[in-house]
Amino acid sequence: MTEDREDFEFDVLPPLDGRAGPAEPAEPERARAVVHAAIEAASSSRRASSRPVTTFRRRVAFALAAAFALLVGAAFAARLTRSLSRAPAPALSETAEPARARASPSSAPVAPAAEPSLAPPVESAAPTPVAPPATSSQSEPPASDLLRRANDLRIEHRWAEAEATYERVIARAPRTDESYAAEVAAASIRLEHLNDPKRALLLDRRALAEHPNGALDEEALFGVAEAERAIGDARAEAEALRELVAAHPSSLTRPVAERRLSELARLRHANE
Amino acid sequence: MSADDRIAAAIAGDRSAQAALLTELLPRVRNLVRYFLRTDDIDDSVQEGLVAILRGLPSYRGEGTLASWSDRIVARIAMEEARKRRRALTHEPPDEAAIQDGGDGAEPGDYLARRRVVRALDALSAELRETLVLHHVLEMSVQEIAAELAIPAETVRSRLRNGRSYLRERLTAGERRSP
Repeated sequence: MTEDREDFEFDVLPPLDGRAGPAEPAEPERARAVVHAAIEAASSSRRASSRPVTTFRRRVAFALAAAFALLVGAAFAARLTRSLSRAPAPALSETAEPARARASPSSAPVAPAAEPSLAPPVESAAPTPVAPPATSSQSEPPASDLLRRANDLRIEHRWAEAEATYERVIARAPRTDESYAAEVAAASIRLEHLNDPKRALLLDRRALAEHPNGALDEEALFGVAEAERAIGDARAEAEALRELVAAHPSSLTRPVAERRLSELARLRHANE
Repeated sequence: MSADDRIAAAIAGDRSAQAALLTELLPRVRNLVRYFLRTDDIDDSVQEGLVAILRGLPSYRGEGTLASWSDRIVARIAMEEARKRRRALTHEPPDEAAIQDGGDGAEPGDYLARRRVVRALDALSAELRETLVLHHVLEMSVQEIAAELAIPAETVRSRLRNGRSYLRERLTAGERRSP
């Protein structure tokens, strides 16, 4: 082995160590995405007992989507908790005549309800002005980077900035996985923190229309119901809740949705 | 949390432990993959390497450092990827421009030197390259390389002699061409 050891003394090609090079350094965000995607892929491959077949970029996209789903899911859980603990519903009355139906998943996005048809909504307040969505620009960072930035802002509770950044994602990469997550996340912020249920409704409906049966379908449907409630359209709210129960019968939202449907039914009968 | 605890947690599926482990290994994995591949587009192979580390973690017995154990796994992944790429290309000409480009004065010290070396490696044949990297970068013995590559030890020695000679020649030529 002495001969082998002498061979190691080749100064131009040193042993692997912790120093930089020869690979180009990875940006911190890129590094995080690679690590996260590897964990997801390893987890998936363990479940499937097979080697992952997707490319790095697809895995990163998947990992990002998973991270967004977790983030939105966390907000959703908080929203759900609030709904579970909410005081008895206000005196809403549901109109008897057929009202506008919620957009079907395959339909184009629809405008939010034009006129509140019922009593004052829950947590009603004047919409908070928020900067309009930025238009797509060559100088904009990639949508995935913007989305990460928006998520970070959201974690820091910088709601208006987070929402504006989500809107930039939507403008930057419409009809993509990134915009899907951004739409649901932005809708949640609009509804929960910026007192803008109309824009929230539009965003949730757009997400549902562009991604039928998508991973965030439940969150978006619940968002529609909550936005309709905040706007005061009890009939549209009930429609969304019924669709939610039908589409996700075993979800955590089902008891909440069913309780609210019962309340709406009682109020409707009381007003008839 | 000790290193052993973190490894145990990672094996048990603790994602934060897995993330911490992979984040720590990532620069080393990236550098090793780049030593084997003739491109800076290494993300797919780095990813495969990290996945293989996680999947193989239950087999790590603590003999030697985790980094060294991971190196072997990643080296196999990277060599396989290099072979796949070679099969996809009937001819892979040496990247003379890349070698000459090694004198980028904007990059500091060790990093610049390693970039120059790896660009010179890019001009070597795959056989010389992987043998040099296994021996000098991963410090594998001739016998270990012979077993790993399923070739005679004398072939390994011959490749090392030729590889070192050729690499020095490429680096010297690159320096002569640099302003």
